[in-house]
Amino acid sequence: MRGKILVIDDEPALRKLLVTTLSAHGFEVLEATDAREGHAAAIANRPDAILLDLGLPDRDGLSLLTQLREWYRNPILILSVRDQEETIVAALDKGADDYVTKPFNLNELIARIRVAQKHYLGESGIGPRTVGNLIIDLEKRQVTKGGVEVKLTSTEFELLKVLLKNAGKVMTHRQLLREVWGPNSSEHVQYLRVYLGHLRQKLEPSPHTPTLILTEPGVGYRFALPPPDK
Amino acid sequence: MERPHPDKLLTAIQNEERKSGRGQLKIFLGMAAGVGKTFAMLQRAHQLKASGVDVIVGWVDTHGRADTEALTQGLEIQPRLQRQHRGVTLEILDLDAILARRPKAVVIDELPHTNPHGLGLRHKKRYQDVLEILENGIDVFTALNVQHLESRVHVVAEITGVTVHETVPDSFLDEADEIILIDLPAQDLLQRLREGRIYPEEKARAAEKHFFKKGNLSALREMALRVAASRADKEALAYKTLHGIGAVWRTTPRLMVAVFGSPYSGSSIRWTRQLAELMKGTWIGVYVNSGKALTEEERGLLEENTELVRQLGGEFITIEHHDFVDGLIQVAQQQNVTQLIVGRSRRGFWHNLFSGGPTLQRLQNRAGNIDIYSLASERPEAASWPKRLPRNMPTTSYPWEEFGWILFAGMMAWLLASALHPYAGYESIGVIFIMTVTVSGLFLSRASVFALAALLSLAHNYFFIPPLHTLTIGNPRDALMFAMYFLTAASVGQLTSRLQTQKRRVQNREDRTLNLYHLSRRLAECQSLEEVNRVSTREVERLLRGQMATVLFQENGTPNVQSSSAYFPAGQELAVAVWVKEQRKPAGRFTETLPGSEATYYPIVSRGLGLGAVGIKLPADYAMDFERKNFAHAVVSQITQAIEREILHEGRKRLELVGEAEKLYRSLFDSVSHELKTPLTTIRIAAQEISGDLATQIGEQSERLLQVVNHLLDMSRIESGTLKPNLKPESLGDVLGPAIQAAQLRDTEFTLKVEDNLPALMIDAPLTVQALTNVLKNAKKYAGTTKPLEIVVSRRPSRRVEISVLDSGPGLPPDRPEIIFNKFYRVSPALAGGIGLGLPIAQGFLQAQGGNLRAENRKEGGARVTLELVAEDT
Repeated sequence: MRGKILVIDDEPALRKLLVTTLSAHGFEVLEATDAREGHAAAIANRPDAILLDLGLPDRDGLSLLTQLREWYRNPILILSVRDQEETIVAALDKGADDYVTKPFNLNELIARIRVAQKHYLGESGIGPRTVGNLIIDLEKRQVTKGGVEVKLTSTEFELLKVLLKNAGKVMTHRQLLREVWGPNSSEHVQYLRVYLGHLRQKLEPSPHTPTLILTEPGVGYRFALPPPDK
Repeated sequence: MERPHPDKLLTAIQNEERKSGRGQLKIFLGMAAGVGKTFAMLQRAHQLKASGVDVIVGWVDTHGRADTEALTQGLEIQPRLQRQHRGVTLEILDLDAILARRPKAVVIDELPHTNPHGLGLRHKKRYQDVLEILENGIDVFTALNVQHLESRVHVVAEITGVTVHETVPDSFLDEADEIILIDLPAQDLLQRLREGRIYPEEKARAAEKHFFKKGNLSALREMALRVAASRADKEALAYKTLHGIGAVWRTTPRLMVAVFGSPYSGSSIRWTRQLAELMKGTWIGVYVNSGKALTEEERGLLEENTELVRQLGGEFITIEHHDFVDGLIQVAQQQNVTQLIVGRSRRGFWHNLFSGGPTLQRLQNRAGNIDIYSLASERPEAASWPKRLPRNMPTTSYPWEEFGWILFAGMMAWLLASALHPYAGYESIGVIFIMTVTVSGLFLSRASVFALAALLSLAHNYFFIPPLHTLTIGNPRDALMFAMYFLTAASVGQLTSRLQTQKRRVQNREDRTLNLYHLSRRLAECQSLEEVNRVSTREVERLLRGQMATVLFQENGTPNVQSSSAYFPAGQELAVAVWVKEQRKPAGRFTETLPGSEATYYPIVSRGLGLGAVGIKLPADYAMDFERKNFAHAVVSQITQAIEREILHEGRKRLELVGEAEKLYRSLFDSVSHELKTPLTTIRIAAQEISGDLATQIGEQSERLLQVVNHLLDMSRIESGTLKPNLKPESLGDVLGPAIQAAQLRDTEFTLKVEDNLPALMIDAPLTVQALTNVLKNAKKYAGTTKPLEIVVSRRPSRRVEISVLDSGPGLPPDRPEIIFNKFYRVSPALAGGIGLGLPIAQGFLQAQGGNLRAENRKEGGARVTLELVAEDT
């Protein structure tokens, strides 16, 4: 079982498609057409995850998100259109777990749902991880690249740790700053850019075309998940 | 009403409590050595001692200044502690002795002093000694120069090149119960220095070359004023917090400066403006017109000073009052003035109207809670001022038309007297003459009244008092009567005339005030610029008998003249208007600039920017005087304000309109975007979920359609002008990575060459990534990737970074490679997909953030497309 997913979107065709396809992938899918209905359905059914469209007919999707986050802890994923980076960042900072941009790809959507659920269930673990030729051991605070130890400063390590712990999930600038530099540092985006550059320099095979720490332009960073095991 | 925050309240109460058990701290703050801080402190100590307070001197260095030395006489001086240290005798403030002596107050000079090291003293710094004394409930007077304040040290070093090592923390000022600013103009301080009253001669000469430069001193003086002013701010704030007055009780300081027809007035006006700026307050200049005639010179200076007040942004008020002090106080009270500034020339006179002391004394007595600053005015640079002014020179020429009226009144009185003479007798007839003179006082000037009185007396004597037809008087009784008649007539006539003048003046003022009031109301009712123009043209005609034209300049500088009268400025006159607009100062007739013009021009200023000018053309024979000029100025300033208001209003309306249009566009765009993309999303996902050739076809074609939709939407964003780039520093990896991913370039399909140590890019990341993606996709599509694309990133002069994408394809049309930036242009239409918008969009996105997109052919074949990006300022 993959769990119950509530789709809140005003487009009947898209909802119908998601019901069909996600059911085929083993999810149980519930539908709601607007914010009011969505909120009611969330309360009544306690879904395991919510897919939320930001452009709802009766109310702003962001305000519904805020309302849901007052009590709902499970993953919420945003469905958005392009050119809405600021809205996406706002949604992520208000507690959304991730986002996909319409037109999205179904596999991408399912992957995102899984990552979010995994993080929610705390399955990310802290044992040594192998990513390409990198072995990262968060417990020992040790990183090796092709068998050679990579020296990281403590800030770089903290940054790597936060990214890795949220692997596969997008992290906004503000979230990273808060996690690494503390709650009052959200203004210093400069630090983040500089330290992230250092990390890429030390870990990426080609720092200017990163494959490990990906940039989501205008939104934030995402630590690339290793390709699915199968 | 907003209540103070509990925490703030608590701190304030604690401060208050903490201070109540403590001694009072008074700091004498100065700008430099030698301004007289020690002198003032000792003076204060003497005053206290005289009123029975136990005050001693803890530490004073007189530096051999005789007058200061003299002041230490008669005060109890605490002996200094002497200690031997490495063979040198050091003198130290005897802290314990002072604490044991327990005076009510102690004078401790040289606050920034550092106590000698290595003697095992309690405190490193003297101010710490002072704090301990205060804790013990003893009041302290101390002195400090502004350059010793910790926060000012580096500024002082910058200004004077002297680094001060002995410092006092700024928070020490917060401990003070009172800060007394000892102020002295730089010039005077230099004078003192040269006279050897600060340092011995050779040291003084060295000092003048280095620290005591006039420029330095002026800067230091300003700094001291600033510190004192900001301190006053804090005091008000602390008081308000404690007493729950909060934000509601906001005393913005309102300063008022007395303006005279004197060369000294200028510096007090400038000083007032500076102070008002520091105190974040407003200010006004006041001229008290006591009815005394002014000389040409005074009149000129008065106009100059009035103009100065206006130029410096102050309001100018004239009041008619026979008494200078009462007049000032009256205005001050009406205007809620908090500070009153009166210039005092160092020659001991303010103005020839009054001679120093008593006026200041009276002013202080009458001022109530208005602070009075009597300012040591600095001499104007060019001292062309005469030593004494001639008094009461008549300024208006005698009105000769009154001559006729004197003769007429005299004739009528004589006729009446002759008619009554047989019945009334010559004694009573004098009453007729007295009456005539009295009544004439209502209409004629004082000189004329006097002349009439004299004429009628002679007539009375000649025609009626025996012996008749002579100017002699036989009877001594008659002589006495004649004298009394003459005196009565003359003085009653004079009085009436004076009353009448005063009444007329008051009447004039009331008329003017009333007219201004009506003008402002009519202007306030106006709804548009045209209406303002119409109303003000009519009012200028009515009030000033003049004609008006408005010159407003468009953004490209083209003048736009509006006039509903016969007067229409052009040519030379228009040039004056341009000058006025640029300089934001009045010019033209009756001013000092271009007085030969046919009209006077006043600037229309909005937010410090000259927008245009109002021209007023007065009749050719218009006699301009001080009063009329003021009135005209008041009228025009109402008009220019109304014009400015309308211009702002129209600007706002336009902005609102643009904002509405943008909002509309945005919501239309969003809904179109949503409507186009949602079905495509559905089609695409559905196609992925079913298998078979047809499904693949559906998937590919929906992909293509999506690309077209995205391009059309992007193009529409560029062309609607609603693209608002959000520029932030980004690193190259944040752009290259996502773009290469989005263009689906495999590692083998490109090579990358990046210059070392690139600066961060100052870009909108999503737009730039989109632009680069478009360029990469384009290169891949038209050039193929049999030979890998080269991506070269390099730094360029003037804050630029370039990303070049080089391909080995067929290249661009050789004659005009830039044609590929034309919309819907496609190099080889045969290739499937795309509608020729990718590169124009990339160019639009880059240009919107200050960058650009270029294209050229490579010598070795293929094309080079270059993205120019703005780099971060380093």
